[in-house]
Amino acid sequence: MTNNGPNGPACHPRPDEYEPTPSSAPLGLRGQGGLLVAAAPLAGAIGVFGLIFGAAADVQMDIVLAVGMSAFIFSGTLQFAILGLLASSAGVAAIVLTALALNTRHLVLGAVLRPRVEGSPMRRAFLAWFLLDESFGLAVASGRRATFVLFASGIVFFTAWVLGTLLGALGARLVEVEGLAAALFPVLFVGLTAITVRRRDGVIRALAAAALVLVAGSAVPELHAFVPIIASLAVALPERRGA
Amino acid sequence: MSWELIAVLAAITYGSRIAALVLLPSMPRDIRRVLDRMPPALFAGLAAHSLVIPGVGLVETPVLAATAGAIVVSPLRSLPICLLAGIAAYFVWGMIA
Repeated sequence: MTNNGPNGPACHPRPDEYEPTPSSAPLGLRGQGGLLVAAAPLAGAIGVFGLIFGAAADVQMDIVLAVGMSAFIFSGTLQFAILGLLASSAGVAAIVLTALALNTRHLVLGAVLRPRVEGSPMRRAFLAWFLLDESFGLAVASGRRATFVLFASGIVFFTAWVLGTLLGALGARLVEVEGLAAALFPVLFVGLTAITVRRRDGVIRALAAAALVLVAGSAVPELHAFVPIIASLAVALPERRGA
Repeated sequence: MSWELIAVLAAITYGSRIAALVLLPSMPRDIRRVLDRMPPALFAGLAAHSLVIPGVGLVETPVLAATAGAIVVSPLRSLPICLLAGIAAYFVWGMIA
């Protein structure tokens, strides 16, 4: 790990001022144009998800409610889960419990991002609206520009999600790519893993977390929603020898 | 679905987002080091998580093919390339199978 600050290698933080490891700026994240290059395909994927959500929600609610869900909840994972619960006639308690379970990962994302995001509590409260898996991944990979990346990518993703929902609810269909939507989640997460991993031990931790999730997720389906957080915490705890 | 339920779900979701980013106090260095190591593991875990259907098993093979395509190019450390490779693998698998 290097701690080369803006003043060069001699500028080390004090032990109590731990700085997150700056990224080596992976391809697609150099400059504001680079941010757009990285965010554009994600926004496209989010727009397609939104369209599929809008089309699926059309069966269970009117257009205004569907778009309102996307505008106010702004969480694809949770919204698709809610649709599944509504389709199986689940009650309000089950929906609320699902929301609590699925949102626990925001606590981890926020805690990881907290040292990287500057500004007053009010400013951070505003930025929290844009805390998604995708914007988090880009923000972490961008190192010291996390605040700007979270804001800029968050606005783009929010627009894509709400617009996609509106188009889907209005009847737009992308039949040929709807099957692809299921593949986009793991592909997206593999990409986010790739841009946030920095060292060989990070690769090992990522592989260990994936293996743990595959085993534990199959063995204990009741804990399915929590397994990624538990697994990532478990593999992050051991300190690298000599670190 | 009602506006009241949407309001509750929005409050839970935004509350979870704001909790750590705003309300969390400054953490000790050791905890921040652990948190700093978590993102790749968390995303890899989420990737694996989306490949498992609880009580059923693994997802369909085109999804696995897309994931494999993204993994193959992941050493390039580029999100756009991973997405393109995954999508390409998905369609190539569809043509072969």
